[in-house]
Amino acid sequence: MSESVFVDLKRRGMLLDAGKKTESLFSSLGFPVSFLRKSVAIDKALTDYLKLRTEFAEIQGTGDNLLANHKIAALYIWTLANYTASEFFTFKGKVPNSGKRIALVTFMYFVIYGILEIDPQDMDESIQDDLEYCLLKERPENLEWLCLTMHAFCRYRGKPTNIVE
Amino acid sequence: METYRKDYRPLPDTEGLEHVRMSNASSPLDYDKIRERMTAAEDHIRSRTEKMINRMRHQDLE
Repeated sequence: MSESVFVDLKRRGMLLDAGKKTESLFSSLGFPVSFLRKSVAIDKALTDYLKLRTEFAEIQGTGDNLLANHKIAALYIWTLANYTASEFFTFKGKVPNSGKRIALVTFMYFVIYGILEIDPQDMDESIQDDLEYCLLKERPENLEWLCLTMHAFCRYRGKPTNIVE
Repeated sequence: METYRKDYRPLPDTEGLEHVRMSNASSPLDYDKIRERMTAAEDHIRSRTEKMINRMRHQDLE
C-alpha cells in the first residue's frame, strides 16, 4: 500500500472516529443521532480538504511539506463548514436546523481536539464561545480568522505546539 | 471550488500577536494519538455540547 493511500485511510478513519464519537455523545445526552458511516459527504469532504490544503500551502508555504497543526485543524473546520449536519447525521423526530448544527459543531470539536496537542481542560472558555457562536450560525468569515482562532487555542492556554515565538 | 481568498478580510483581534510567527514547524500527524486525544476530550466536548443545547433552548424560549 502506498504511503498516500495509507494516509488517506488514516484521514478517513479520523473523520469516522469523530462522527462515531459524536453519535455516542448525543446518545449519552438522550438525543438519538446516527452517524452516516457510508455517507458520500465523508469522501467529498476529504477531497475538498486536500484541494484546499494544496491551495493553502501554495500561498502560505509549508515546512518540509508540512503545515502546523493549528492550520490543519482550521482547514478541516473550513471544509466541514461547507456541509450540512444532515449530510453526516440522521436525526430522530423533529429537530430544528440549529439543533442539527450542534451535532456538526460537536463533530468539528472532535477533529479540533484530536489534531491540536492541547489539554481541553485548559482551553479558554471565551475563545470557544466565540468559535461556537460563529460555527453555529454560519461558516466562518475567512480562513485566516479560523487559523488565528486555532492558533489562539494553542497560544494562550495549551501546549504551544508548532508555534514559534 | 471557491478560493478561500475570495472573502479575504484583514484578520481581527491580532493586537498583541505581532511577535508570534505562525510557523509550520511540525511533525506528521500521528493518527493513533489523534484518536487518544479525541477520547481524552470526550467529557470536555460533552460539556460544550450541553452548553450549546441549553443556549439554543434558551433562545427558542425568548
